[in-house]
Amino acid sequence: MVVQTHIIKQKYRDSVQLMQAASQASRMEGIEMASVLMGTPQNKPLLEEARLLTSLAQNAGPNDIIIAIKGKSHDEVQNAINFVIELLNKEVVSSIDEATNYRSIEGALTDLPEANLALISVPGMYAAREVNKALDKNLNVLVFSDNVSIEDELRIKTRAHEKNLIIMGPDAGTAIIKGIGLGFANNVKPGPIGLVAASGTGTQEICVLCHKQGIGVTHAIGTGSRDVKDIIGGITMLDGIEALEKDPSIELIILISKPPETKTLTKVLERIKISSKPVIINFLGKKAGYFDHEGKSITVTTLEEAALTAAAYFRKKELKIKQSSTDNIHAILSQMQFQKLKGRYIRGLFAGGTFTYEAAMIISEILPKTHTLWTNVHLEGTHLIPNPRKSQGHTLIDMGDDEFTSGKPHPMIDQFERTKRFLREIRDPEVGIILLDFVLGYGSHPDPISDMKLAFNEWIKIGRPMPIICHVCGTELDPQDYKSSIEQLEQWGVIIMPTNAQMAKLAALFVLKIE
Amino acid sequence: MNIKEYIDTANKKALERMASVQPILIDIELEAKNIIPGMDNKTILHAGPPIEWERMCGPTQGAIAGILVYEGLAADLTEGYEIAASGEIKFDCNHDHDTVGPMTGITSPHQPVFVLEDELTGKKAYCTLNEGRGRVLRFGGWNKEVLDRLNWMKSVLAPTLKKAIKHSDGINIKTIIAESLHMGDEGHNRNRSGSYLFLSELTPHMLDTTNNEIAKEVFLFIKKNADIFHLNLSMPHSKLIADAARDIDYCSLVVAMARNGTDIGIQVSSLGREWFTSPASIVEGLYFPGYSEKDACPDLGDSTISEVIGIGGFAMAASPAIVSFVGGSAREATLRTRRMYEISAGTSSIFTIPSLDFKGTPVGIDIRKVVELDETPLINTGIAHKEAGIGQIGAGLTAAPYDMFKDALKAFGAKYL
Amino acid sequence: MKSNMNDLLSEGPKVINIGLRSFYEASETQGIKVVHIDWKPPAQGDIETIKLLDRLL
Repeated sequence: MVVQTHIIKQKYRDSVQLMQAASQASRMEGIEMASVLMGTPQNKPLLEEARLLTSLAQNAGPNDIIIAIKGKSHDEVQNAINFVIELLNKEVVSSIDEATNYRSIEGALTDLPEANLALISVPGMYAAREVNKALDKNLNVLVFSDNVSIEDELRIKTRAHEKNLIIMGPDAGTAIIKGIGLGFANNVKPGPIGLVAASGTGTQEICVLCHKQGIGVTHAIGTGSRDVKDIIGGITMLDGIEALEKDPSIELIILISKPPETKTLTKVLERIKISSKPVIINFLGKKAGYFDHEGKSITVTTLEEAALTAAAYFRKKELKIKQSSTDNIHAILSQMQFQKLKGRYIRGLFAGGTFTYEAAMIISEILPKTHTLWTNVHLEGTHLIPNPRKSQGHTLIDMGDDEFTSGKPHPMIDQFERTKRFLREIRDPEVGIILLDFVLGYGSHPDPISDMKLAFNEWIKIGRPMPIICHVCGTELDPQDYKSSIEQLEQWGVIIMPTNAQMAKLAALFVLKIE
Repeated sequence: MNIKEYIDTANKKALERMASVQPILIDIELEAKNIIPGMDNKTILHAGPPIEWERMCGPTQGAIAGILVYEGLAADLTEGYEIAASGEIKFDCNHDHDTVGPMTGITSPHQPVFVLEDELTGKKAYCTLNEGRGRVLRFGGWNKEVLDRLNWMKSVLAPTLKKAIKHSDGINIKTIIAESLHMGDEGHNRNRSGSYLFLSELTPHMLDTTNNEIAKEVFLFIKKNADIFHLNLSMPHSKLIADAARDIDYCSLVVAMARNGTDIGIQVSSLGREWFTSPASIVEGLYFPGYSEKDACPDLGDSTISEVIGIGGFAMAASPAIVSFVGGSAREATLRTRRMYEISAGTSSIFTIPSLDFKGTPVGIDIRKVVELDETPLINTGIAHKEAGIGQIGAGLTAAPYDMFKDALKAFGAKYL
Repeated sequence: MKSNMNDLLSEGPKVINIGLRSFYEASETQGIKVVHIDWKPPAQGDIETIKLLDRLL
């Protein structure tokens, strides 16, 4: 054992700082004991007791720092001494994490008394409780959490409505408020469009497509998936329409949802009728003409149509359906190779729930009845797949469904499950074409395309003719690098479609053409 | 009114009562048995919730054996242990006798005690005088030096201070602590400014009542032990304030929190004298040369009465000098204090924190909020060696255990629902 | 502290974030006022105690 002391002359550090230095040094390799203290008469006996009081230390003055260290070897002891000297020369660096300042809404409000929105993403069983605390403080709420009971949803929405507050959700993945994305949301330019939407990725698609048409979106109010069930009665949807109607920055309202249940539908349609601003309706599955009133409301079939119709409205001040041209799809089809194709089935692995639903709708309509389309979304004209983890025939899977996400992150954040599934599909000889959606924006994976790089390389290596079609829902303003994402996909030879609807159409026409 | 409003109203009342207390040091009683209620020649009081001899931690047993020698009941330490174990001595906790004591908190019949009185109500609280640093009884340290010091304190320190205190109009300890928070103290682990302020109040009276030689001796003793001396005034001061919140129907605030080295316990205003306890935890801290966590005695002492009234860990942001306990950054200390606001019923009108723009410290630990948030009171404290005779081996931070708050909440629910 | 729906739309969101930290970070990135809450399940997730708290707090 070696005992060594070092004196730093005429330097003061308070005893706690010195003790901390000692405690760190004593944990170093080969060190048995470390003591760092001021050379005061009270401190020297402490050193003596620990048998560290060398003659050098004995002679230290009360304003000198004594570093006394006992260890296995001279080198290790010297090393520890140097460490302490360096540590005492350093300024204190704060490791504080501003995000851990508060534990409760009440506490956070002392810091941000002007807060007007609580964003809640705690596990579902606790969510309603937190919502109530937020409502106590007169906050609007966006509930990202799912698994909130329908009874709780009714209670909190009723309570919020009475307080003239809005609850977006539960299970509202996306919202934009005055141009600010909340949850999963794309960065789009602000403008005269306002959305009320029961669908997260549906909202993202419309916002992105409007942005690309040069029209901005200022608000997108998420209602949550069950708002239009009769038990809830569309409380958020109706309040949302009302709020957008009152907001002077909004000139056109787009409504996206699965078709509301009967009583709620009546209420919503009555409300649209008296709206002072025109409404574009996209009740997934409802056809054009479903609820059209000259200049007041119009029904569109796809997300893409909603955006195009909105853009046309601002160009021509006329509420009329605008569909995309199919030229692009046919041009791509004509260039596709069909000779060496082995498989003939479509496999779609989706991150977005509405994307799955919309694609299923489009494909099932195009394909003749002899084709069976298996999905894990409930949609007339398709079949519920017995095992969502195993494809059969034409299969479209919403990988953000509870089956895949309970206890695991959503595929928009973590693509582990989807990548695994993708690798299985590219080796399946029955597969003819694969569909993938990539959703960019706030909240999403920082680079979902590079994330699947190895999987795409694998597909290239296999070399079998089996086209992959992708749709990237994103803008050049998103935090991810949109441009290089697209370039990357092109480099790999992936077909990129501008909208989810066009991706689905292309896939269906591809299958028809094989036959 | 619904029950929540009853509780909120009761808690508000408790805060008002606490704020109105003016703890004045009015005297030193040279023999505790003459003034502490329920105290007699065979009673020894200790820190924390009540505990029987067999379960006491090493330092507490050692301190009791030692004090029995001081009391003249035992010839030596060995006999002290025998007598203590024999059942001849009555043990009870300080808190239930209007008393508090740091670490082992031993209070014996013939020790001198500070007497603090609330000006408004005349209620009193008591605490022994602080022995200073080094090998001391309150950490379970014992040798001839410890005994000699205790005897000197009884024969020189206490009578001298008593004369000076009596000569003054009484010394307002609350004023001293409020000021000391602006001078780097938090009133639990750092008391240096408090000690200096106390000395400056006291010294003129001491010079009027005692010869220079002795006045100097006493002055130097307090000066030498300035970082800790005032703790034994801060604590009974806090005890008086906390006791003012006792026995308010529907009140969910903690009125006592204390540790005996084996258990930690709390008492709640509306739940009478019942203690809710959890095992005392090992303190995360910085250790003196040659010691580590494995030598540490679990958390010990009545000094957590500080946190009950919104100083100590609750005023960490006021004390940059000791923030190294929490990693060395002043902002970290602020964070710690900030979190205590979340479990407190209000803020102090008298104890303020310069670095938080003179915001009042968080005060009134609400058991409901502690349980809801799973955020327990932060405690700043010294660390004793787990064996008797050695004394202090470090200092640090710990968080009170959660379970006792939950038990208290359940009892509260059982009473009022 | 009064904020109704339309104030939210006209003023833009000032957020208290309870739960996923990435949403806090996304809000910060967009330059809005946001305070994150270091959330834990209430009462350590004990249902009985939560029920008790619902009546008392």
